[in-house]
Amino acid sequence: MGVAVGDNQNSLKAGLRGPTLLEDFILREKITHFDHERIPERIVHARGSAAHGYFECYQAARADHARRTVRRRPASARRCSCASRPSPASAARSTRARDVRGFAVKFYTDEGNWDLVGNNIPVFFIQDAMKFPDLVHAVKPEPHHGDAAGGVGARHVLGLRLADARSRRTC
Amino acid sequence: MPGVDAHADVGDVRPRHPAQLPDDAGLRRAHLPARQRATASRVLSSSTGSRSPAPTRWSGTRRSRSRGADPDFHRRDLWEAIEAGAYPEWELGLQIFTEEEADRFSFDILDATKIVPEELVPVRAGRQDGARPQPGQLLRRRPSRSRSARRTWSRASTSATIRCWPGASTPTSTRRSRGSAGRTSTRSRSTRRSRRCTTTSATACIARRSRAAGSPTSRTRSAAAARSRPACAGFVSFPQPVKEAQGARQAREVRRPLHPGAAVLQSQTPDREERTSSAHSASS
Repeated sequence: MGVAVGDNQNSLKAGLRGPTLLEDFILREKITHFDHERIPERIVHARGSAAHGYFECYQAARADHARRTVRRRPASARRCSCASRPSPASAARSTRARDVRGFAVKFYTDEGNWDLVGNNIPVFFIQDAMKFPDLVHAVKPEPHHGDAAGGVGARHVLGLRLADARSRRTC
Repeated sequence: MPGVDAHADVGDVRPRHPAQLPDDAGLRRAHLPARQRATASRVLSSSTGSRSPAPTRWSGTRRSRSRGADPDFHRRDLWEAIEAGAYPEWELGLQIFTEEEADRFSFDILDATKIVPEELVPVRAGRQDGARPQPGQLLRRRPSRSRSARRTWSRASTSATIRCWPGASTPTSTRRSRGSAGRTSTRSRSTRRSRRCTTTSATACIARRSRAAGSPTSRTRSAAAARSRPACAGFVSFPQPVKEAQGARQAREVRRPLHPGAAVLQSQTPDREERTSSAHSASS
């Protein structure tokens, strides 16, 4: 207690390429604080719309959601924006054309639900989850004036969002 | 001020002047093909127990609206498309390779800031035979359309691929919809789009195949050049030897001699610099 955090930008990992360790309490506290700082809104990917349908596969596979014997499985898909704000007060700017778009699919299978999330940016911005709160803070609009906080992360994201359409290729 | 500046959704930290805003037409073109990439690689396991890393991709064609003039555009667009029977569909593509192949890649597949080039590992749409689906095969058994408004999202798909879809429209049609204050006539427009679907799908397939060399998933402009490139020696975290670490290790060896067994083991284990240099020589 009372000791300053030495490094809040690099999480503990099991080796150079290993997974992030749960024993990194600095990471856990940072992520927990980030998750709870805007109640009841989600921080990112809050505004979206979803539809329910099915996933159908034509090839045999090991996974249940794509098994050949049961070719059709119920699924739900949700498309959303990332940094846009869901509150009605910001309705006029809540759907940004240059915002990152999210795409989440939930497969309902006999072996349990299987979630697959993604977004439409070709290369992700950061390598460490510990940097994610700082990146989002730089990109998210401030609640009192609606401008992004700025910083290197914001310039990085805006570079993607403001890039020329002919040079900006999605994946 | 929120709700006042109609152009503010494009860039927040830039000086707000309409002349500095990007071209709106290009904006729409950039977002028409709403392709999505999963942020984490998945691992597929076969019945024999073999494991294959498989980065995943979704490609669909729900359109996006620019500038935020209509904040509820995406939700209403999806709703109206479903109500009109133009069910949106997406295809799931996989890049499947073995862990041994992944070890030979020059990048770390677990790095979220890296991509697997399509020339290195082609995107397969759920097929196990390794052949990339041809547009004609995918469109051959195109299902009929249902008019049931209660059915949602997706029509029967004989293949897990394709469905470049009715909900997608050309920039021309988007411009028409914007002219009517964001409201589109649902059934007639959807029907027209669905009749265009075959041509649109085939065009999209060809476009995707030829577009690979210029996309961020490509590392070269030429697919043939990428295929002819010799295999990499694998990912090395620190390609350049760290002199400080090398000096510290030598000092530690001098200062604290290991027990005899460990000394023998150490002599048999190649140093980091040796492994790095061998990797460089193999890759070059």
